[in-house]
Amino acid sequence: MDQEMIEFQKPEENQEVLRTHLEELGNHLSEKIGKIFGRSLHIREVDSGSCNACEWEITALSNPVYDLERFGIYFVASPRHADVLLVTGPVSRNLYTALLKTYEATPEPKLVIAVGACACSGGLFQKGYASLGGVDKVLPVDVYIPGCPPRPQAILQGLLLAMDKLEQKIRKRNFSDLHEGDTCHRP
Amino acid sequence: MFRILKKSLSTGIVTSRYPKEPDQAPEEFRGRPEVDFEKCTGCKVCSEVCPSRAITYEDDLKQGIRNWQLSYANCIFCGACEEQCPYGAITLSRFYEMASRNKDDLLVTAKFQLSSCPRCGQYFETIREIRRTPKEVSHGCR
Repeated sequence: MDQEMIEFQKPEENQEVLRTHLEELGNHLSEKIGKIFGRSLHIREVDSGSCNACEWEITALSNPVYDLERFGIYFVASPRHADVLLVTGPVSRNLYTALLKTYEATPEPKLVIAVGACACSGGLFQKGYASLGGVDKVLPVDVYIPGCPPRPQAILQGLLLAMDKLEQKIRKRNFSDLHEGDTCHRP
Repeated sequence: MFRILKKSLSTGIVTSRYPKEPDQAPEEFRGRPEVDFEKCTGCKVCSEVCPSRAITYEDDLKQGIRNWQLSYANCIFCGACEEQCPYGAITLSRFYEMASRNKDDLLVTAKFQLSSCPRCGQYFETIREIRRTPKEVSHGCR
């Protein structure tokens, strides 16, 4: 393993070798993850003050068109059976304790997925008296799925991203307009 | 009963082949807001109309830089920025696969050079915006 690592760092000529090495490593990793979760994922859906739009889209996942169960993903009725908490809503003051208790009842290893703009960052409600402003203020979130509400396909992509079956399609983008100089404009 | 069987058989397979084949959103769908920074002047109208504070800006008056930021995590895809943008720089695309492991990846940031007011010397508006719609002095000096 050490010799392989040294090979990675040295030559820039044989990049194809490096690429195949990386691919092998990636396959190895995905196999490992597949073993941990047994190629199946059990979801507990938690509503923490959502408007129910996200719930409708999540419900649509189990209909014949999107058919979530072909990926081995199931909805379960208790957090004690779950691997993943699918949290919607901005975490209202009343449901804060319920969310915490659900999280504590879920066995390790567990993932938390925030679905919708509210769960990702508070959305329209932001931080106020009745809303805590997003799930990540309360729990560690593994995958964010933005959208108001996200399409069923978007939720599916988020779930498969959490299972490492798909890759992330979005990256941070920066733009800078500082090259124009510091001259003062006088019309 | 035969009618039901006949109907369900004639319907065929309805399951979408989503992750293998891309599933395009309908034409009127409001997805990820795309910003065309060739048209954008940094006039901050979008941040004023945004109902969920997805678009924010902060003026660094010491260095003369406007830090503009769009977070898809806050965005509710209402399209107010698209309607109000005076230069048509923001369009809501049909892209929706925005799941990310990191909140940082959901950001779009931009830096604009500010111009200073000839009378009071304070930075007040971006150079790009003044080129498009000339303003002589800052709001306080008018």
